[in-house]
Amino acid sequence: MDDYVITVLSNIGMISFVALSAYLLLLTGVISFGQQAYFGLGAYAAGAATAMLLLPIWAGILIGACVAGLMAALVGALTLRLRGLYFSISTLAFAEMVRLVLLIVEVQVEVDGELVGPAGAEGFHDIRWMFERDISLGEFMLLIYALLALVLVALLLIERSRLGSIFRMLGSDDLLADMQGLNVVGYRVLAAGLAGVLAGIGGALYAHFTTYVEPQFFNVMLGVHALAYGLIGGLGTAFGPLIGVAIDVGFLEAVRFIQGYRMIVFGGLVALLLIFMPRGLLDEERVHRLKARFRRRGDAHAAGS
Amino acid sequence: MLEVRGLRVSYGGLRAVDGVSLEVRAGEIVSIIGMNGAGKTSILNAVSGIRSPDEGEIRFEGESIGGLPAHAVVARGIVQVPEGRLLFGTLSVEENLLAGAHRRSPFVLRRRPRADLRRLFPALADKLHRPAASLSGGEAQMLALARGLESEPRLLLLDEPSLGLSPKLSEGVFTLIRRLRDRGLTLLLVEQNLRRTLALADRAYVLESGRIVSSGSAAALESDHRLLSDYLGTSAPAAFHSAK
Repeated sequence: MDDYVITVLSNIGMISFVALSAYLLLLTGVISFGQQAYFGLGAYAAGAATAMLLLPIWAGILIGACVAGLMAALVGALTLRLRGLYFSISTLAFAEMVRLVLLIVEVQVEVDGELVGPAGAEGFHDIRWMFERDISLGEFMLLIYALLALVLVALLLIERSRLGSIFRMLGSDDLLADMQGLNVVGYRVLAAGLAGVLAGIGGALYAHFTTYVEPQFFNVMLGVHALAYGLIGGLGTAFGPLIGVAIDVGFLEAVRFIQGYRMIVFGGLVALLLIFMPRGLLDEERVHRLKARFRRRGDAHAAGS
Repeated sequence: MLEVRGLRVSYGGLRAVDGVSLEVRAGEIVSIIGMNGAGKTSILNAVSGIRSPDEGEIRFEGESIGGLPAHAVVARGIVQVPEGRLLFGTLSVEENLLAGAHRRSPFVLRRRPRADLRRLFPALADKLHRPAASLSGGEAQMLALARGLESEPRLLLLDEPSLGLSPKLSEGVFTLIRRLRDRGLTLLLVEQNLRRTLALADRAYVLESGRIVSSGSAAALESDHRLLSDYLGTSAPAAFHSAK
């Protein structure tokens, strides 16, 4: 594979984490315009772990995920009592706050005679774990997809568990969920924390893939796209947002002759889908139907054998 | 079992419930009867914790539960089956059914609903994997009831279970309510359908503009047609008529 293809595929993988993050919150019925903040926090925390503290990559990813997850749960605990639009605005405000803080944070340490660390608006350069270990782009892509597969399996298990039903109940009717004896705010905070972890993993990988991060990358467009991926691909299954990412990053951004028109096509696509398929290509109804078909086939198979 | 004293609930200055006191004893079916807007649902919402009361005391088995959050009230065994917005439309029938199983850990894979529920609601058993939004009105009401039972309540609050159902279907709902009582469940039932409700309930409270204007055994209230038509206005005879 040439490096361009690997880069596109890696981008699809890394952005998928943010898309899944926004998707998890969409399931519970809240719209966050701020998941990019946790992607950014994960990137900075993981970068600091490997480049400044010289920890191994797994520790970096773990730290990035934890920092993002804890922060998301904390912000969630403060804001999830807000309703609808008010919550959405607060997520955006928090994300902008994180970005602006990262623009002024300068914490550098000397590693091998060079200063390494976040340098305000200059960004955080020299996260050189890949170079130091002589890891190729292709190998790193495998790491990205291994983690994505792990996360996907975890999400699919959650969807099959009672927790998955609970998340969807909150999204369907939170007053009714309250009447079922569910601690609505508690589960929303849990979902926010998990969503933070997902975005944090994506950010941690991104920092090491590109070797530098700057606050500008975590602007609101990333958060809005992350939301749109779930709405395009569908809210019926965790594969939905991945389809959304593949369409946008894999097709609209990567295919060169439509590059200049990317945002026009993307915006049009989102608008059309919101009108004709408001819950995306793989919405709950379609997923129910697909599952029923598989179940029938499975039953027929069992009966035949 | 349940004791409500001097309950007041208002919405933006408008008093919906104005000093209501009532009592439900274990094993009873108690009904609150009244017209639209009389404050029936507000009483249920205050008991279940959906709405915190402005004033008054709500005790369940001696413990004060007024103002507790809804999930804490459910944990004590009071479950409300609301009117109208009954189901989680995007979830499957089975998921809706298990929505009431709040005592189960959220971190287990979904389990089958309890067998006796499937015996009580045979119509739902074949449709477990359908989206709940595809159910008919009668099936939806049955599912909401079944979900309420899945929480293993000791006191079930039923808000207009026959609303919008055909006479035949609502007959089914009432039969079911009777069977639930025979199995030891206590019920507080809000209804507009006078005759049916009085035939079912042990005792009833008649509510008008947020106040209780009459109460007593269902039999006594039923024989007092004049009282009912006085307090329920001109539509009371029509209500009797439509119940026939």
